Amino acid sequence: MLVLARRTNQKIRIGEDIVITVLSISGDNVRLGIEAPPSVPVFRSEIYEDIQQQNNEALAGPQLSQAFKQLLKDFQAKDNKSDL
Amino acid sequence: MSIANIDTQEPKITSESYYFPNGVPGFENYQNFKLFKEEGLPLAQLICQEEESIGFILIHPEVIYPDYAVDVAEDIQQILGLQHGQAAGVIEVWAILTNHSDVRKITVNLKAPILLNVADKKGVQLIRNDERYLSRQPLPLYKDTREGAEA
Repeated sequence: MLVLARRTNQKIRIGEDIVITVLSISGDNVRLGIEAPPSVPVFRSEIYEDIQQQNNEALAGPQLSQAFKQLLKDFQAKDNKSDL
Repeated sequence: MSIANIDTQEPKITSESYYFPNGVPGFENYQNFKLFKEEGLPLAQLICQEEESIGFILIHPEVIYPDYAVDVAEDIQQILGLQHGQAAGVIEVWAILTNHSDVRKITVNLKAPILLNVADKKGVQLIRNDERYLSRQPLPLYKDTREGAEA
């Protein structure tokens, strides 16, 4: 891992079009400004990892599980009720 | 592939192909998905065309939160191939349901909705930086039974 020391308002450039600026430092809290092209998604790491994990847990192939069949039934039952 | 087959009556199911330029988190290398919708239901199935075991059950988030709204930033517009200001009408918003053997414990991911450009058939999973929305939101459909308030 490359380690660089930076002060407030100093920048790091990654490749040609990504620039990270240290906006402020307060205790153990660092505010960063990130400039990147729209094609480069930027997320807080823990949020992205949570969504990756969610997607893995959410996997449902072409065959519906019993639980989803039940859910479908319950939705239909609910709709029929509101029709009355 | 049918999402219903529960009733004896024939459900009307439509399917459309969508291209996800970035894939979805966890499955970044899969770009081609097929959306199966059944008329009259707020649910759909999104199945990967390269690998059938990768699929998701989707729900219209308005069913859970009637005022659920998504702000489509410029980078997302670009991924979806939207022209400037074209956004509103052609975007369909879905949320992924997370499976659980107990139907009452199925949750919905409101943190990372699936956005579809129905005109150009492009899709993306947006990650919201909004703290109000959870990636594991319980379904209000089962609120009463979860709380054991059956009597």
